[in-house]
Amino acid sequence: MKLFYRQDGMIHSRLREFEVALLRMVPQLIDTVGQQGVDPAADRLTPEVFTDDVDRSAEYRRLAGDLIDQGRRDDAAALAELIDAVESGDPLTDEQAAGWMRAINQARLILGARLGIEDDGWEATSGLSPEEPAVLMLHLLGRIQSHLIGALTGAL
Amino acid sequence: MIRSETLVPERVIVPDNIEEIDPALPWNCVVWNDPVNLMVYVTYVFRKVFGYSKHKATRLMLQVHNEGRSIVSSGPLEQAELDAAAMHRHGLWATVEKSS
Repeated sequence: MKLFYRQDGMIHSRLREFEVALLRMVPQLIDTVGQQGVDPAADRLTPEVFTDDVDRSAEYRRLAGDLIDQGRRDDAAALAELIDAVESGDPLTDEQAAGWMRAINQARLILGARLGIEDDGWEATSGLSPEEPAVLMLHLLGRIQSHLIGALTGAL
Repeated sequence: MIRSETLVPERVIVPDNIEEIDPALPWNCVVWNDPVNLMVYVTYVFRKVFGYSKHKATRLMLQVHNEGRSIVSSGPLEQAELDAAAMHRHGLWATVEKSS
């Protein structure tokens, strides 16, 4: 069963209690992103943009870094604000749903970076237990995200 | 990228002439493969941000997945930087490089 579906131009959901609980953790997780060079999640979310030009990369970071960080916080805040209404059955606009999709993605990237996931096929090769809570969360959020993308793609 | 259970196309035709780089456009925005982003998500972002067709977005996503990277847009430096920022905003791993 699809967790999200499009009807009358809005995105409706059929989230169960544990999925709502998982989504509530998304903004909390995004809130934990620390300093670059210290938290691998921060390095992953704002990568070097010019791999062979340190000065240009620093300049880019100065101009775009804050906006990207602010966008991440805005998406997280919007999800936190809307989750109660969605749990009670309110639909999302496409813009709101896209914000949820980005926030869920950021949470997955944070989990992946902190788990040290670096290669495709990591499920088989990384030695991480599939029962490790962060790995479970990564997969469950991926499922929610893919259903949300399915509903959003209907409007492209 | 992670293969999603539900939404990956079963068969995609990839043409041979995969590069579409205009030499008059000196800077490229490059998206790199990563092991966490979902394939359907990367395709969605290419369609949403660049307005690419489903076919083109899927082709670029598969190039990222199979070859490790793909040039997703070319243009003046400022445009390539804006495109990279849009990719970063969506959590894709993007860099800017001079077209060679």
